[in-house]
Amino acid sequence: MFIVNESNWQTLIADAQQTKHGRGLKPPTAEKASFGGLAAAKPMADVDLIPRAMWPDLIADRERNKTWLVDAIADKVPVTDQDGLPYCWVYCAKQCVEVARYIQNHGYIAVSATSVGGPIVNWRQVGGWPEDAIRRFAEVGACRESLTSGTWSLSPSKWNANWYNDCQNFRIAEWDDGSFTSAANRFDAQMTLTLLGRVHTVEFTWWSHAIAGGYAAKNLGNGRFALLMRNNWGEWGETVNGGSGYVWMEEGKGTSDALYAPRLVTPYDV
Amino acid sequence: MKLKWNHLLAIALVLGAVTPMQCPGPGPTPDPTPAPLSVLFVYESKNISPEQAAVLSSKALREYLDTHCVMDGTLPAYKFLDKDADVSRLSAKWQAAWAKAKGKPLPWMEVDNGKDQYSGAWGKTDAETIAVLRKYGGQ
Repeated sequence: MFIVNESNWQTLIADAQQTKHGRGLKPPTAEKASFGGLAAAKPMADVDLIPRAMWPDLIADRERNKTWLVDAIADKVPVTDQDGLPYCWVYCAKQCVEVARYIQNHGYIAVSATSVGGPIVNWRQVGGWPEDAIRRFAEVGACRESLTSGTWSLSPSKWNANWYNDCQNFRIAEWDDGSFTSAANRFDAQMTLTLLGRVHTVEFTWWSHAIAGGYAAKNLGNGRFALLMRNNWGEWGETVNGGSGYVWMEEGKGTSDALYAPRLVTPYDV
Repeated sequence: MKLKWNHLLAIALVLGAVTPMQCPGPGPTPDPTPAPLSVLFVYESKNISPEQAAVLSSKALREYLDTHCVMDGTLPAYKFLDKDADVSRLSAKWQAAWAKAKGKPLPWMEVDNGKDQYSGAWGKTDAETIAVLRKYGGQ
């Protein structure tokens, strides 16, 4: 098992450069796009952190009883694949919506990342922030991928004419943002969400990349912990329970710079 | 002494209080007849505990539901929904179950096997929850 930590994280950057996988997380200092009416969407921010002293027992229970999120979804939710598109900031949110829909038992359906990211950046191939993708998911939603002309298509004129109307069926109704925690205990927030079985976006400035977390946790001993996250690079990383794209990340390099966690997605059976 | 009607009434009331009428009751509740299930789980994501969350993502519970629920279109008939969900896009069947669960203490579940129904709290663990479901959905 490969666990990303302070001593080996450069391999992830090298991997991205060698394989041409897209990333696309903008640095925190970059100027933000204007969102017009999207500011009306309000996240929640009142998750109580689970104390560290409780983590080892809870982790042991989850491992013993197979009650991690990754146990529930097994191979039923395929890994997302942004290919070379710099839309990691959307794909991490797309992954959250697809997993949350599956957990509510609406079945798996691929939702279109470009129907969310495209309108935000005027259909250009540029980076962005997961927060903006989450807000777009909340305000407008995403259409199902089958209504587009291709997984990575940024040409909506070629899509099914109903794609925009379809977006209302695939929205985030409620979510938490990372403001319930500070940078100092962000990993505690990630662990809390993981122990609550809640998929969430995570973003790493050092990697210029955003993925999703919440799948499982591991007690490495001596107060060290790692979290199981899932990338947006298709058949990459570890295979867990038949599903691919996973990566273990230890506290430190695995501590996210921000996070967003859907609570509820639109109940809708296709 | 000659008893008057009001004396007799008083005696009858006292005796009634001491030895109440023994009406035949409904008898023991018959065991439910197991049949394919429809199950609605309702919870509050804001206050969910790690133990309740473990029920939500239990592999064993999902496997039981996948194999013991009636098919609802292409999906086994169960839903896990936050109490604030807008169910207007779901079918009338789910909206009816939702209405039954409305206002109940959370986490709550509505179980229906077509003949028998159960409304009540989730088990404390996935195993306890499955034990309840087995009574209605079979082994």
